[in-house]
Amino acid sequence: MATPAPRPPKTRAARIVLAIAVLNFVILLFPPLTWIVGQGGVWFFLITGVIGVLSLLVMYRVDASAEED
Amino acid sequence: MDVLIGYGGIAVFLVVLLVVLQRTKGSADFSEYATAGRSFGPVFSAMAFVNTWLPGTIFIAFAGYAASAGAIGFYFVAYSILAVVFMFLLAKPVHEWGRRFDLRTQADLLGLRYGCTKVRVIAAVIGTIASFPWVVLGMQSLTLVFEYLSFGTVSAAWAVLIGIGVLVARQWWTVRLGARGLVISDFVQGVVAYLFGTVLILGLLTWLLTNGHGFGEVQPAFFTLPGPGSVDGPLYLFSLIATGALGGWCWPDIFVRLFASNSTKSIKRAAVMATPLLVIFGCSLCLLAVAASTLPGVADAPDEVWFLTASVGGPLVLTLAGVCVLAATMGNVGANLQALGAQIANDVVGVARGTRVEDPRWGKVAVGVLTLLAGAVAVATTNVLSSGMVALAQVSYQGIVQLAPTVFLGIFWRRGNATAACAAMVLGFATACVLQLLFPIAIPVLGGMTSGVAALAVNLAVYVAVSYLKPADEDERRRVDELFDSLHTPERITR
Repeated sequence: MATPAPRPPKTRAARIVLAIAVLNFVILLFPPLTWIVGQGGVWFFLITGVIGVLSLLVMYRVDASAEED
Repeated sequence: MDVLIGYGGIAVFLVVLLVVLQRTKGSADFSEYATAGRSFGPVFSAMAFVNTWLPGTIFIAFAGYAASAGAIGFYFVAYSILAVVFMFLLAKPVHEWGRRFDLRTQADLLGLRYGCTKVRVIAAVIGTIASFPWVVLGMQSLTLVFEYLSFGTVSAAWAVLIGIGVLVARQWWTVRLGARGLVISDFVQGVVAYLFGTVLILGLLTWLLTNGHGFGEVQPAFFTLPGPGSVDGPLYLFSLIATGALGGWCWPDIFVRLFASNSTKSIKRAAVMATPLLVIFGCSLCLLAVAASTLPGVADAPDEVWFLTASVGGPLVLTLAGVCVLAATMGNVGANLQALGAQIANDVVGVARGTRVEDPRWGKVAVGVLTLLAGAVAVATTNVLSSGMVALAQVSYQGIVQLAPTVFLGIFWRRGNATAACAAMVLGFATACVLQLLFPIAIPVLGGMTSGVAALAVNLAVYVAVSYLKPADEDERRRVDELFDSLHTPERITR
């Protein structure tokens, strides 16, 4: 049986990017959260929209700085 | 006189666009025809994504949903954010594999990943079946544009035919120029629809708020989201957002945009640029729709909220509003036709002939035939599909989202294999169809879950179970390992 090739370790930047992505999915897809904030429905989308914009910016900066290193 | 302003505005916009397209060069081979030679930077990539992502009906059916139901109408903003997050994560594997293996379509990538033509063909067929209604719907969505901009001189029956005629004629350049022409025209159309459109929305919103149509006048129920005990069910909103986010990258026309970018970094930068545009445009449009819900006539015809609101500004403002819808519609319809045509040529005709398609004429013929077919269906079904546009959009999503486990787990998980992908796609699609027939809106016993999400659970379970119970042979596992490892190493591996 062939020995499996060693896989490249996940960098710290990759972990941060993944964590931010997961956070966005949890915020927007975790039903109890929308139930709790459901009374201010429009605000929920406005605030998560801002979080989304900032998340992408941070993901890009973290990813780009890791590539420079 | 007013009709001259209305139709004249559309004519000016079309002339500008066609001048730009006439200056665009054609494609030397099929790969360039399908991917624009992988040559576009972040700005063009961002606008191509947004113009493809947001159909023209965003101004009609989606705004209408917000005008009739309130806060839940914002759901497309939420799923758009998650789609952009996915775009960021998909950038490297999709671009790198696309460049190294000359991939031209989504189905092409799945064929490579799973080493199986069956997966490739099933994905192409599901993608085409689910996308085709959107093309037809897009063609019909211009009815309101040509009806309103005629200022009463053209009936709805004629307006729909004019709209379909304009879109079919516009595809002459899509057929001729392929992806390169689309990306360039997406930029022009995107600037008009979403940048200029946002300015127009904010102007109209200001008028509404200062003329007795503030948010205080809107019914309080408009500002709540469905939860436990609500009519829609506690999981209805979750289902809408999940379907949009997961289904987004399953659409062949959205996915192929990743192949048109010139680097992984360009795709990631495009994602960063697209997010504020989607959020600001989407939230502004929904806020306008909610505020305008108290305008006379909107409650009776919520799908016309954009035009009824713009009417307060007179013929010129209404013309600008109509041009925004036209620009958004052309981007989505053209992208769909080009992607589907390329997919049929590359992944159905190419597979059937047992050769790699290299001649761009195959793509041109496929796009041309699809355009004529969609135009004919659009004309034949003008009365059937004129209502319930969001419902039809959601039905298409229930089908397309069944590609999600095969696409995402295929790209991010090494263990998935061809048997799992075929079984999951077929069972998921069949389950979604049956559930959709039984529960067109949502499934009450599952808390308001939609048919697509319920079928997705079956789909995912089948994919994971088959991947573990019937693993690929050693050669295939080695090939997949090499494919994933190639993302971290510069050397080439064979297809």
